[in-house]
Amino acid sequence: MADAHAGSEPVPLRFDRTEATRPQDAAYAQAIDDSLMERMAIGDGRALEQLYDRYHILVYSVALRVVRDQMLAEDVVQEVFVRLWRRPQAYDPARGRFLSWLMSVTRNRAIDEVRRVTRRLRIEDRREDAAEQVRSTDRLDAPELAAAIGDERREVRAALASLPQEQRRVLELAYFDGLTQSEIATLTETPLGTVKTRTRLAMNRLRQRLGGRS
Amino acid sequence: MTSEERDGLLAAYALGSLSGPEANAVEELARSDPAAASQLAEYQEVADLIALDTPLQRADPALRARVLRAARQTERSRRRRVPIPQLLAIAALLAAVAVAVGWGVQLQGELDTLREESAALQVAVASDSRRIDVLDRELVSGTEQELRNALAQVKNTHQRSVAILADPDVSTAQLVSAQAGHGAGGRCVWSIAENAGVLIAQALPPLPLGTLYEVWLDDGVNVVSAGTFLPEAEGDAQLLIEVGVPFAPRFVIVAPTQPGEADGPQPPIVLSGDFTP
Repeated sequence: MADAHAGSEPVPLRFDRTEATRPQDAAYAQAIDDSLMERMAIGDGRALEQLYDRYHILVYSVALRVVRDQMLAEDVVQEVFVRLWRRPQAYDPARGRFLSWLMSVTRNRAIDEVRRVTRRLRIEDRREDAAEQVRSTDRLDAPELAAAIGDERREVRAALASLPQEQRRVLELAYFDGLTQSEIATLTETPLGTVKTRTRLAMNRLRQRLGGRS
Repeated sequence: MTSEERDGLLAAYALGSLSGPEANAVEELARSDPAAASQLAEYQEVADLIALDTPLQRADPALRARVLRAARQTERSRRRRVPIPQLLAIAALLAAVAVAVGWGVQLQGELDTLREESAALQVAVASDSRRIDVLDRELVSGTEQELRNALAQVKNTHQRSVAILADPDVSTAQLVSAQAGHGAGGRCVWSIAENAGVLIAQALPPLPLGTLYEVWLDDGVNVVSAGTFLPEAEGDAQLLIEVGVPFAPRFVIVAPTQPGEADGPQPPIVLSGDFTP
């Protein structure tokens, strides 16, 4: 079975070094996000444009990784941002960061789309399609996204790269493929208890490295 | 449950990889145990960061225009909802009342603003309600009792319409003229949450003497009446539509009727439309 991301190279972001080394980068980005969402709440269309410019590449990339289809991914992007526009109050800063919330909305919407459209495509087929798409990835210049998530993305990737391969795989199958632990056990021909242990260990490791950002 | 089992459940829930019964158990745990809820929030924060591990892909540049256009259309529909035709009738009635008590101009101005700006809608409604309450307390004579009742009805209709139109999950049906409609048109929105809707129609053809228009809703199994109405002189109409039982309509039909005589829409059908979310 082909791995979805085998052989893919991290796509570097172009960003301003001064911005990236600022210690409060994540908090600064969060403040901008919250400000844009406040403006959205009073109907400021320019705020939507700015949020789109900041995050559409990330939203699209996450959607594409989940749905494995360019047109479906575009539909997900449209729905996510239109929902954001229609119901900005759905985001509550007291309950977490905007970036996490946006990723959660995107991922959930994309998984819903997969379930709606395919009603269970064989994971192997989807993974091969995705591998093809990932291999064709070009380098990106994404200054808006770099300003929003620059260092944080590198930290996350480093944290995930530090996990044992089997733990990382369990996380990816759960998060990006929307599989339950039982489905992961079946797919990977691994005892369910082992899947649970790998999930717990991996999440605890990530929590130690990445937690406390709110 | 051991500490490790508990951690495992919370972590898996945050990843969305639990089956229904296990997920329900975690939700119950989070509700009853603040420490578990806090731990779950940390796991969820971490889980959503996993998305950042995604290889970045450039979207079609045309997608930006498409998304913004879709948002603008949503905005237009939101703003179209605000000049709720029901509010126009209410505005006329309230304005008449207002003139009688000396603050018609002010109220009319407020209602104009109300029609124009959706963001201010709820605030304006609350303001209007307070004004009506004040007016209500000032009315003391017997003839004014009728006015008080009318105001109460207007207020209720007003609030119901606002609730329906403020529902983000409202379904909308564009009303298309049948041959007998002679170019009539309109729109109907339905809120599952409110179990009610608002129908707006324009250019309805004149009715034969003794008949009304009746609104029918069809959920694919049952057809129920959602009310009758007489249009204005120009053939325009706007009304709150309700049925007595929870209902999720798929189609709406408007047809002439003689009150109480039909179990379903009878030809000639004038308007019809399919609801879409």
